[in-house]
Amino acid sequence: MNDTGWKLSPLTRLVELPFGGYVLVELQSLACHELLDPAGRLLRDLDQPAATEEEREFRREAHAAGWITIGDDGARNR
Amino acid sequence: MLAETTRDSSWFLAVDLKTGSLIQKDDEQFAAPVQVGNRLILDGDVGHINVQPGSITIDRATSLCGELYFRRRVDIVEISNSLRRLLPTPDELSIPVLLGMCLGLRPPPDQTHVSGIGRVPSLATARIIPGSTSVRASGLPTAVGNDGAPPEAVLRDAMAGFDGVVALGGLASTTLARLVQDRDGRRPRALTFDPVRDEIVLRAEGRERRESREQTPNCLVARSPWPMWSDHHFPAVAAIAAAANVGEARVLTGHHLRMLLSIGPEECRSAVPAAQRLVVESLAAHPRRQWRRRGATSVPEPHSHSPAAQTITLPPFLTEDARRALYATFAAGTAAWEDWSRGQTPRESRALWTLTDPLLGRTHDAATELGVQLEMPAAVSDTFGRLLGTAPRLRGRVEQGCFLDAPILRQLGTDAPFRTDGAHRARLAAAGWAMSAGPDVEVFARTGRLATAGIIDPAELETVMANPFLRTEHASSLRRLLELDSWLTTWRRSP
Repeated sequence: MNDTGWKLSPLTRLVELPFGGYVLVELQSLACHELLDPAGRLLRDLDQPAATEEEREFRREAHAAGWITIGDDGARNR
Repeated sequence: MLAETTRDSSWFLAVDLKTGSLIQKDDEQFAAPVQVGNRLILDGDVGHINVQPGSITIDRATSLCGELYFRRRVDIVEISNSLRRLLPTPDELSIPVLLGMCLGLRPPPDQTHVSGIGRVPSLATARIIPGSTSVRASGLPTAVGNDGAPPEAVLRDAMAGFDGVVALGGLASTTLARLVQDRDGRRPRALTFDPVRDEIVLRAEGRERRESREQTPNCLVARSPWPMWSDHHFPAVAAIAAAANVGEARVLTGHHLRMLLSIGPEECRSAVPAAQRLVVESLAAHPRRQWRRRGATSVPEPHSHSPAAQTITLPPFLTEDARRALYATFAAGTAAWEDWSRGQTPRESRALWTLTDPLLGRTHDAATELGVQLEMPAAVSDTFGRLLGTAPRLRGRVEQGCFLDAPILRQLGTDAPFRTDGAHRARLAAAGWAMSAGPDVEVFARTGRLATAGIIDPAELETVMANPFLRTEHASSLRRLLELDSWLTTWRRSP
């Protein structure tokens, strides 16, 4: 899978907390996920390619969870 | 530098238990206690002491303010209103109790963090006879009740004779400052502790002066038998020290006022007007109605929410030994505190819990040592009784679906910022501190006194610091542990 063109899904919100860390909210279920700084940065800076295999793996999992979209696979949600 | 007028207003006396005679009364600086027959009347509304051959009774049943400490040396009982005057030594410090205080736990009501020194909290009576000491709660004074005066009038009455500096912190003290301003027509002098920049701000006649923490309360740190924790009591201590610095004799604080003028969880339902309740909730949501429908004759009492039931949530970076010591120390303490407020309504036990906070002793110690008169309008028994009887509807309100806490304070203190309580402000400051405290924490985890004593687990601490959520959660206990650690080192060195 190409590692460019990721976008945050319109059905998720990523919030950076004032004392560090990120919270990702799934708007449909209002489920909240605590994300550590590296994970939050990976989802925030989606225009930057992932550097390592772990980072690519994390993005694939985020994609599988529906948090981020690539190409127009999130178009049906808009 | 301390002003010339500063003088120690603490007192110390020693009583021979067998003969019931005063063997030493250090009153050269201070007129109280006054002896009337067998009774010693203590200054500042802290109660009185009855001395008989073979027994000493310390009666604080109607006293809401100040602290009394005692130490037994075989047949001699030493009593003082300041922990410092009973000369605690570093060997007497109870490390588990201090650790627990870092985590927000209290020692039993009659004990302090110094193992040889006992404490008589507010609203308690101590009886000391040869071979035994008992400290019992007296409960809230029976004169509690509202005479129908609105809380605004009660507060205005309480502020009538005040002339000094206001320690500005949150909603309650802002309201008091506002009342003084309404009375005098100009803003009172005010001292504020800025937890973010760690500075004390003095505002007087439109001018502003800032002092860092190192400049001001440092005079207390070296000698004080209390660790200088940056908890929610610290702003008051800092204000007292700063007031002594600039030669102010009286400091006004808003202690207990918010507790007295806001509602607890068990009263929330009565804050909503009945008609509105029908709109905002379905009928089935009412537990009272549910019980009626099932044919039950009695409505169960709501859970008491007794604040005395301390819950222990220990941070993960304590070692197994430290946990065990803490559990052993605080299992008994929790039981004692529960016993202390037995038979009280939740509101009364909240009031009792707030008034008997052992860390208030540090505030009073600082005030007596620096000769500053600390004024807490809410801890004057007349005001306290009248405010405790305030109806729940005046203490919390639901307006357009939003819960409004302490509406009276918000109405009176019109320029009050929307601030949460002092404990919340202290937690927030600690979370900010923890973001940049990495190097300090590392030193603490490797070479600190607590770490070398096997209390801190460095690996777990590293995990906590690396995770912003855990770091924020444990920030305030971690900050206090670091402060305790440095205090243990410095206090040991001082004579």
